[in-house]
This record gives sequence, structure tokens and C-alpha cells, in this order.
Amino acid sequence: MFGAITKAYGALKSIAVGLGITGRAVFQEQSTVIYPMAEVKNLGHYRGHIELVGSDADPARPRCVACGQCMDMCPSGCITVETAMAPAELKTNAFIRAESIMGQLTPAAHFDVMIGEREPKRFVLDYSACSLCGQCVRNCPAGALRFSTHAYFLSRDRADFVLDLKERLAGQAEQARQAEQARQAEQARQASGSPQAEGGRTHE
Amino acid sequence: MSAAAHVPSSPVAHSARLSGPVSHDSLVVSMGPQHPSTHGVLRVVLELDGEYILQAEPVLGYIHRMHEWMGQNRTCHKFLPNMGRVDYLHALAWNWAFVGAVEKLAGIEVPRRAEFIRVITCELNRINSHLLWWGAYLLDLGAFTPIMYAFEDREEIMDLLMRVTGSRLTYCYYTFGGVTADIDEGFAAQARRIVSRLRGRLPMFRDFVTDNAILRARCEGVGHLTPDMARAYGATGPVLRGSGVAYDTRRAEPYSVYPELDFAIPTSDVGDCMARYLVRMAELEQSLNIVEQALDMLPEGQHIHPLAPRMVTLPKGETSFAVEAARGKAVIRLRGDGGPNPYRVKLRAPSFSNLSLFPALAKGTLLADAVAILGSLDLVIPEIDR
Amino acid sequence: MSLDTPLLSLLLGLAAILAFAGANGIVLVWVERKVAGRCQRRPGPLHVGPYGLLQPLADALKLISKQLITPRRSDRLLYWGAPLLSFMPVPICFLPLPFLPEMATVRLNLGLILILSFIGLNSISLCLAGLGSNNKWSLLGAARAIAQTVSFEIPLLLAALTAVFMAGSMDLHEVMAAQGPWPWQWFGFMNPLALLLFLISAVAETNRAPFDLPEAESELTAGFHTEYSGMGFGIFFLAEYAYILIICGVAAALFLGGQQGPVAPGPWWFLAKMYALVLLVIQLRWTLPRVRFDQLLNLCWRWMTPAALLNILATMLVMLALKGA
Repeated sequence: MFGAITKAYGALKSIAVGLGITGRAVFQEQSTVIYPMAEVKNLGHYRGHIELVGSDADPARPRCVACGQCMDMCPSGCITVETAMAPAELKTNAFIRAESIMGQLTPAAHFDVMIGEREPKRFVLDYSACSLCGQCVRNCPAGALRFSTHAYFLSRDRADFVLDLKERLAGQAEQARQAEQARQAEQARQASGSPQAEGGRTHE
Repeated sequence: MSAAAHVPSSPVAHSARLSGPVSHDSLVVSMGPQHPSTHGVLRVVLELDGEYILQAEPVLGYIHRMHEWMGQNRTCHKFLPNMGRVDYLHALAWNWAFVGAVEKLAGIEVPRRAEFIRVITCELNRINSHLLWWGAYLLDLGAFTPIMYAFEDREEIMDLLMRVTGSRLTYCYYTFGGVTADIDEGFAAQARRIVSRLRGRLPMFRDFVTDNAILRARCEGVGHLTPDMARAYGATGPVLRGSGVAYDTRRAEPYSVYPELDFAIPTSDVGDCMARYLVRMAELEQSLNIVEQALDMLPEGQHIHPLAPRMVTLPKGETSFAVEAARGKAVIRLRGDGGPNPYRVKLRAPSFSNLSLFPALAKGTLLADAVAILGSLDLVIPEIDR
Repeated sequence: MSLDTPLLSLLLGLAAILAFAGANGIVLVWVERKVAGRCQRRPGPLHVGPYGLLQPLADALKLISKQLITPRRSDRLLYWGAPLLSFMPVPICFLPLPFLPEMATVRLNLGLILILSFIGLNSISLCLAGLGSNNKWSLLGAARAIAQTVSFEIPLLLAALTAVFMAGSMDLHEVMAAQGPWPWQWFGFMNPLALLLFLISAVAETNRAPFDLPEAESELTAGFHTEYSGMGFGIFFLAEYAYILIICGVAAALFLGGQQGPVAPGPWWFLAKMYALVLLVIQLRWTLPRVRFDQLLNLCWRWMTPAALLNILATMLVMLALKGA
């Protein structure tokens, strides 16, 4: 009898404890982010689709040497690189080493690619097939690929996910140039020290 | 009354799936492939007498993706992303199993720092997996709220792992000869914050769920598994340890820097669902300890071996590499023939063996117990089907 | 023509009750989802109307506009009769509830018996729904529903009987009047065991978690209403909330003094107590795991029924002693 009462008491107490925990949660701050009104803040490390990295000299021109290793590495076959000879003035005497399984008879053959000899004519990514594994990025011998932070990317049309990364890079470079210009103009206006906006503009 | 009398559907179609004879007055139901508590596309055919289970038979193959065949038809690099899709809840363990097997066969060295990074991230991933299991198990038992609390902490760990891996679930982070990205001070600080936060949350989990009278009643004495039976069926992981066998691959077949780390192997002699539950909850704490220790011991150095080949060619030979995944012992058996592709990749998935216990454990129990047992085995269906 | 005509007042009362039951369903859906959300540290419905208040209306609209699917080889009469049968007793059960100070819609001296007997009809409707669906999960749900309701009616009645003994009447108004305005004069305070037993049985009787075995999502997919679509499901839903309200109203009247309150006694006290109990029932659902079937029956037959019997005996003895003194 006494045992039964203690057992019942223990059970009821554990239920009361549980009710207390959910009851407290009712008055706590919510831990969810309601998307259209607010956005999550952890997108700094978000790894979206890949993008080309611009070369140091010309941000609109990719670093890519069109060796095709990313195509080889991609498990889903979602990268297509069309090559073209680069303009002669870009040619260097530097080489980078790529590894390839191009010939199945001579696996892991190394071959050297001259920087600036060739360039991608088009660099097409089929994002709808990509699994974001990152094998292309980490195996690019020229360091010409990276992940974008392009998070909110949606469309009703599958064709919108076939991206020409070279065009995208050119667009990005253009945007960056304009932003830089605007920034410089702003700086110049502030540096001129004149409180009148008119003066700043004429100075420019 | 309507003329259409209630005609029970013929059991013949289902009984083809059951190995034993089906009695005429029993009810054959198909639990799954879309049933709330089979967690994916597992199908279990049950023969019921009232609510008592006379026989149960899992039916596999609904999410078979031919991972092993894919492994033979692509280079090791191309196959590596597949590993995140085998057990998507503890993706890094499978990453490690495959990377480890390739490194062992091809003789690739791994820097010490990379080993520690692997331990840290793998254990964080294990915590994630156990937290999700905890929530989902309570969902099976009819409590809706715990999974939300588990997800609060799980989100934090996923954010942390995203810093280095870039992904939130199907990681492809380890690579032959190291890891693909180094961890920085910010990562370490955030990891420590998460460890201490989770330590503070575990007592709440205990009060809220573990000590709950209804949960105890649902789990205690249900699905009793003897150590002999667990061994006979090849059970590993918390299922085996819940039966009192202190077998943990991290200790039994030590790999990486685990021998240098100080952690206990939680076991329970009881062997019921509650024992498996308690073992997993204790493992959460052990994993937190490991993460903290590994962060303290993290040496300077490189995160990837400078001479690690970009393209791995497997030499002739055969090897296997086992890691302790959240569900048990995950083994990759790898055979190379000197070509660019592996000759054979065999995946030994712990969930597969653990699932094979289910028909034996579920026999004679109530339907609700079968759900509790299925949940306590912590199955990930893509791992079973591969 | 005065309003005192019994027929007119009955019709008006019925219309008011149906409106109240519908409105209550909609409000309780919102409350349930909001409480569930807050318990789980998410906001709950938010977007339709202020604070998501119109979300249940939108849901109702969706349910009404959905196609009604009848499963092949199901018994159409049972299948579509079941949801209607489930809702039919609701207006009757609302009749004797003491909403207003002096009058119920129909004042019955056996009001409690009326409610408790008609609430039992719900289990028959669940059984018919399970039988008529031609679905094995539904059938299992129906079997569970019958066993559960039949069992828990006994401790429910015994616990209610305790309060009836203390008040000496089956009329909810008189039971209410027999209690005082202060909490320690309420039967629930004088006899907490009866209140506890009544609440547990009430949760079981209305098939709410942790005793939601007939629909046990993770075991029986959705139990007896697996096959129901659109308003077929909607009516079951509406009826469930109506029964929760009724049984909490009975508990408030029997054990918590009903309209009695320390200040300004009146119907608002009754409503407040009733909805406080409803909130408790809702929060229980979002806190606890589900019990197993045999545990449920064990709880009923081995714990609650003996406890209720002993409690009734003890109450009688105490009352006799008090009378003698």
C-alpha cells in the first residue's frame, strides 16, 4: 500500500516536473527565426554553388587555366569547360602541375599546364546536378574555384540553374568596380572636407 | 445496414513477405514504407493477433542506391561524396571509414593536427546524431516536444560544423591525407561554448524525459536483448553496449588518436530499450568530454599532408578500416587492383545488423512495444539499404 | 409571446450552443497550436490575422473545400455516419452545463448523468469509423477506443459520484451551490484525490495525449480517422474539442466551485476555471509520451478504480461522521 502510494507520487511528480519545463518554455523567448520577416545570421559560412575566382591582374578574367581537372573530379559531371587559346599577351612561363586520370592506361599521370596559355571560353555549371561536395574546389590546381555565399537562389525553371560562371564573374567584377567607384567618390567627397555637396562634386 | 459488409482484405498478398505460416484469423499489416515511426522507407510486415505481434519481417530495398557498385565505377575522389549519404546523421563517421581505408591501403600519412580535427568533428557529429535520435525516439513514443529542444542544440552544432565543412548534413569534409579545411580559434571557442551549453542542457533533458514515469514504463523491460543474442546477430554500437558488452571500436580496434584520449565506454547490463536509451545519453556526455580534451590537446601543424596526392591510385591489395559510428561499427572493406577505381568497396553498415534483431525482439510484444524497440535500435534506413 | 416558452428557449439555447461549440473549436485549435508552439519555443500560427488568430478559420475553409474521399470497399453508411454521430451528442451535453447563474438551457436534476451517458456515445462513433474505413490501422484504433472508453468511464463516474455525494445532488447547479466561494470550500480542495482521478479519466475519456491511443500517430498512423479527409476529419476534430470543453466544464462545476469565486461570483468564474483546465489538458499533450495500451488498462483497473472506490467509501464515512457530530 505504502509502496503503491510512493510509486504513484513519484510518477505524478515526474509529470509535474515535465509540465514545469514546458510551462517555462511558454514564457521563454522563441528560438526560431521567422524567415520572410527575419533572416538567419549564420550565412557567412554558407557554401553555395561554386564560382570562379578572378585573376589578380584583371578581376573580370578568371584564374582558370582550363586544365579540365574539375570536370574530371566532379562526381556528378555537372561542370563543362570549353577551352580557347588565351590572348597572347597573357602568356607566362610559369607552369602549374595538374594530376589527371585522362588516360586510363596511365593513371595518376601528372601534366603541367602553362599559366595563361589557355582560358575557358565558357565555364558552365549545372547546379541542379551538383551535390556541393567540393571536390572541384579543393582539387583545382590554379585555385580558380571557390564556393559562393549565394544562399537565396530559387526559380521555377530548371534552366535557371545552369550557370555560366564566366559571365557571372564578369558581372561580379563589374559590380565590384562600380561599388568601388562609388566608394571612392564618397571618400573623395568626404576628403575634400567641404560641407557643401556641390563643391565635392565639382572637384570630382 | 449497407449491403457492403466489411470484407477484410486478403492476407495472401502480404503473407508472401512473411517467412512463417500465417494463421487465418490473424491480421497482416504492412508498417511502412510510409509510416511515421519507420523513419524513412523501411517496411515491416507484421502479423498481429489483436495487438500482439506474431511475426515481423523487415522488407528492404526502397532506397537502395548501389553505393558499392558506384564505388567500383569511379575514382576514390568521386566516390567520397557518397559517404555523406550512407548514414546522413553521422556522415563524418562514414567519411572517416572510407578515407581511413584508402589511407591505409595507399599508405597516405595524416598529420597529427588533422587527426585531432577529425576526432573533434566526428564526435560533434555523433552528438548531433544522438540528439536527433533522442528527439525522434520520443516522437515514436508520442512526445512531440523533446525533438524541438534537441534541435535547438543540434542547430548550434550544425552551425559550428558548417564553419569548416560548409554543409549542414551530408558532409564531405575529410579527404585523403587530412581534412579539407583547418579549424581556427573561432571554431574552438564556439565548440567550447557548445560543450558547456549542452552540459547545462543535459540535466533538463533528464528531468524532462529520462525521469518521466511514462517513458520509464514504456522502455523498461521492453525489447530485452541478451549479450549472446546481440553478439550472434552482429549488433554493435549502443545496442550491443546496452546489453552489457563493452565493445567500442574506438577501444577495440583503436584508430587515429583515440588511444590518447580519456573516455569511458558506457554500458548497461539490463539490455532493454531503457538500457539502450541510457547508454546513448551517457555517450552524449562522453562525446562532450572527448571534444573538450581534443580541443585542449590540439597540436599546431598542417590540416592536410603536403604530399597527399590529389588523385589516389589504390595499389594491389585489400584492407578494411572500422570506425565507431553513432549506430555502431561502420567498416569499409576495400580492394585495389592498381587501377584508378577501387576493385571492390564493401560497406558494413551497423544499422543493417541491428535491424536484423528486430523480428526476434518484436515477437510476442505489443504493437506499441514494437515501435519502441524499432526506435531504440536507432536505424538509419539509407545505411541499411546503401 | 414571452421567452419563457420551453420550446423557444430550447431552440434558442440549441442555436447558441451550436454556435458556441463551433466557435470554441476554432478558438481551441488556435490555443492548442499556440501553446504547442510556445512549449516548443516556436511562435505557432502567426500569419493569418493578428497573432494568427484567423488560422483555424483558414484551416476550416481548407477542410471544407477538400474532396471527401470514401475508401474502396468501405461501408459508406458507417463511414460517413461516424463523424456525424461523434458530433451529435455535443449539443445535448452542453445543455445542463451551468453557464448562466440561474438557468441552464434546460435545467435537469440529473444533468450530470445526462452528460456522462451521452459522452459515451463518442466511443461508439470512433468504433464505427474504424470499422467502416476498411483499413487495418483504423480497425486497431477502433478496438483501442472501445476498450479505453469503456474502462475509464468507471473511475470517471466514481470520481464524479464522490462530488455528488458531497453535494447531495446530480444537478450541476446544486453541486455548484453546495460549494463555497473560497478555494478551500471547493470539493476539489476537500477531496483532491477525486479531482485527480476525474481529470485523469477525463483525459482518457476524450482520447487526449498521453492517452491518445485510438489515434496514436506513431503506432497506428492516425488510428480511427486514418482514412478521413476534409470535413469528415474536421467534424471529429470539432467534436474532440467540444468534448474536452464539456468534460472540463463538468470538472469545474463539480470540483472547482463552478461560478463560485472569492470576488464577483458569476459565469465568468465558471468559464475561467473551465478554460484553465482545458489549458492544462493541452499542455499535458505537449509534455508527455504516450502510454501503452496494457498500461492504460492497468492504470484504470488496478489503480484508479480501486482508488476511486476507496475514496468514495472514505468520503461517505467522513460525511456520516460529520453528520453524526
